[in-house]
Amino acid sequence: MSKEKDYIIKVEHLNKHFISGGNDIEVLRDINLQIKHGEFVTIVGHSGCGKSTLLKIMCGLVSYEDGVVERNGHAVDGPGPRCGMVFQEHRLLPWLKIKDNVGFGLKGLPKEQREALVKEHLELVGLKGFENSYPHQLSGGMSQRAAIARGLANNPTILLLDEPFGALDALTRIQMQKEITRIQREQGTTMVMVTHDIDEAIVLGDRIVVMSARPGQIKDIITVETRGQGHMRNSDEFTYYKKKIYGYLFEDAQEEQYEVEYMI
Amino acid sequence: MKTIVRKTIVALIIPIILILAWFYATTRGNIPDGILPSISKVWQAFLEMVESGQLQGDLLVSLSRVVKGYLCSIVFGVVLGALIGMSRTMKELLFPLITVIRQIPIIAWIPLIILWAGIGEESKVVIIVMAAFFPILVNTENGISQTPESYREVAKLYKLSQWKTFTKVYLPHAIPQILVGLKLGLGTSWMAVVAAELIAATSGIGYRMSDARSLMRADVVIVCMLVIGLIGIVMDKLLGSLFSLFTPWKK
Amino acid sequence: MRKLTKQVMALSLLFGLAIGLVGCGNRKDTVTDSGSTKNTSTKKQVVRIGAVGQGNSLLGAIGVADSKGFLKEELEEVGYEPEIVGFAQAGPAINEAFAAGEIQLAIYGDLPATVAKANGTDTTIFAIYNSEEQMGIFVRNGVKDVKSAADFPGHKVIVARGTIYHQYFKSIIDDASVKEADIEEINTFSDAASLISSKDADVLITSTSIGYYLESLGLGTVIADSTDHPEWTSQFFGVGLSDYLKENPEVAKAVIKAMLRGQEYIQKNPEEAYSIWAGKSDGYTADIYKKVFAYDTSFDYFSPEITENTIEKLNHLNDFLVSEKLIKNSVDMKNFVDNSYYEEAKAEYDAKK
Repeated sequence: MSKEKDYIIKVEHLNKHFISGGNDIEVLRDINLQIKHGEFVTIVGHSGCGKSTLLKIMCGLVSYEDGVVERNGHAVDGPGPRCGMVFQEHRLLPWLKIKDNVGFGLKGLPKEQREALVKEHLELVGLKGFENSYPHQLSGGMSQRAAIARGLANNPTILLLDEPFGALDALTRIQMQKEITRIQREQGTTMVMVTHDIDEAIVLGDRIVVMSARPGQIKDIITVETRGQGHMRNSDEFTYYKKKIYGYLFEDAQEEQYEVEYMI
Repeated sequence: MKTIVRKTIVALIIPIILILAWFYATTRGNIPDGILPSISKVWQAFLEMVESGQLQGDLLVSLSRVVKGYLCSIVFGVVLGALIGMSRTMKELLFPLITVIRQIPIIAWIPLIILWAGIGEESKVVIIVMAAFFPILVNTENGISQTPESYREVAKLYKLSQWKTFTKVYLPHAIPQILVGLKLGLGTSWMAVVAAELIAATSGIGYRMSDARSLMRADVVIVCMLVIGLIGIVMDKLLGSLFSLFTPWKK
Repeated sequence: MRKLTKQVMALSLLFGLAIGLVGCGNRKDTVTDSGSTKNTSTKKQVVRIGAVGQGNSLLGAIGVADSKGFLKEELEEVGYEPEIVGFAQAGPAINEAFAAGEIQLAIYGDLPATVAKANGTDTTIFAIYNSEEQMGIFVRNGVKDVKSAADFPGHKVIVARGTIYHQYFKSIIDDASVKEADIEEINTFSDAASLISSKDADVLITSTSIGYYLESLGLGTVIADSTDHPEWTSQFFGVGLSDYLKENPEVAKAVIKAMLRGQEYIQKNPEEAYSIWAGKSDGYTADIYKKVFAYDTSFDYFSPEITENTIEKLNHLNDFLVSEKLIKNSVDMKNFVDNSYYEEAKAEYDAKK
């Protein structure tokens, strides 16, 4: 029983079809995944392999008919306050100030409490002082930080991130990866992040879920031994994981030896 | 500051040329008064109309009609536009009909409206609503239905009710577009009231033009036309300034 | 930037001047175009004659002359061909056509003709069409409380401004000591009938022919007319652009001769005349015209001759227009009319008989 309780998200034998243009497309096939409290799990795979759909099903934005998906011990039947989400676009509402965007999900609370939470989370993401700015005044990186603040504002137990740094430039992306690591450690929120960037998946994840393309299936779940040991990027361990993941994702091109060279 | 000065000067080039051409045509050329009165005649007529208070009176009457009609158009246009924008069924139900009616120019409607609604104030308001309500409706519908899916998903994520989603996401997104429609609607209202007054009216600036025409007072006609144009510009600019107050988030 | 501005300004100036010149030039062409060339070829010149109402609705002596072919004959003899142009908006529209040189002659009322002259359009009255155009007050069915002009206040009255009805209207309300400001006037001519039938107006000031026509439709009654007040009647004229008349005097004379033939025909065959007039407009019957002219079947008022009486009435009209501020400048009536065309035409006409 207690073993069950450790799993904050549980997915069992999940299958998902979409009907598009008269065709029945199998998006996910037999997905099995358990996520523990406080974990940082990354999901990596080619575009169109269904990883975003999987995340949205976990979030409750997409329905599912075949399989079991549970969150915080209950079957998922829609979004909930204890599970936040961050998208690839920041999706801050342009007509609201940053403070109102961040506080968007805090509707039921009294004013002071809401303001305190907003302030706290803006500070958390390093946007102190930008309460009264409008989204168009912020850079891409800053906007995404505000989106993260919004996702965390009501202290959810889970934060789902769908390629959150995909739209940012390379340098900002690295900066944000550091930030999200820090935030996760400080807050202890369970995070599940979808990415198409192998490096990112390795750097951030406690465990890496490697998915294959249509239909989306889990090829492997790799546990990262030495996460959080500063800059892992140039280490041999990093290279090892990278080669492994490359192998899964580019199975057809096994003949080509990928020399892994990563320069920052 | 310099750019504003330069812009104003450039904007005045063509009007000044036209005025010069006008002056030349009426002094050197032999165009009779009936066709193009001289600038001084038009100026005289303007002074007379202002002095007697006739111009102000006419303008007041026409403007009050515009206000009534415009406000009605806003209510109809925004409400209906929002409904059509939010509901697929409503769109399929109403949009084809609206698109067809929209093609018919307002001038064609006027005789029919007069037949049905008479020649009193009501018919003028109806004419204005017919003219102004379409741009408002279309732009409102556009703004609402073009609300990006990404924002709608955010509303879903935070479990907003249908109504809350409308007021917190759809409507704010649509506001800039709605304001475009309102601007167009105001211009159209103004044109419609003049057109309505040209036919079977007993007061207003359009009536004044029609009356002047009967008496071959081309100078009065031109004064009316210039005043109508000027008022149209002023209304447009005022509305524009008012709208920027409503959208502080627009860069 | 400097050079570009200069070019723009130069172009714009040229553009503006071009418009001005074209505008002046155009007008002249339209006027002289359709008349001054004395034709040596067999091709006939077209003379455009404006008339009040839709299509070919000339009435009176010239209407009969047109239907019996007299008009065409007379004009063909001198090398011209008539084209009747109808104007739904009556006098004011005819004035615009004159000002633009689109028509050379017109048969229309004294009031709009005077307004045009006062505003600088150079026209000349060369013949009478009707020296006693009768007008009346038409009241819609269901309006019980209007018995005379005194009852107008509080009712919607259709008065086409700038037309002969305008003067009649003023005459009758002055006579009844009613202030114009107390009456709700509707300014239209072409929409009058539909406004009456849609009950949007209670009273219509119009000619007796139109009034009796509406009566025949059962829409209301003509409660009063000007047959007992000859000073309230209007005059209808044959008017032409002065330059055109001077350069083509045969045209005016031909028209007058046609009118004389027409008048004679009417005097000899009144019943047929009524039918001819009725046939010109849908829904009109011979009886309507019988009623209209019942008050005086000598048809003397169809004589094209311009008399002292004509000028006296015109002066009266001029005073009215000036005092009502409907025109700014007085018109010298003696120079507005020209009876010489009639005199020559009558002589030729009598010689032929």
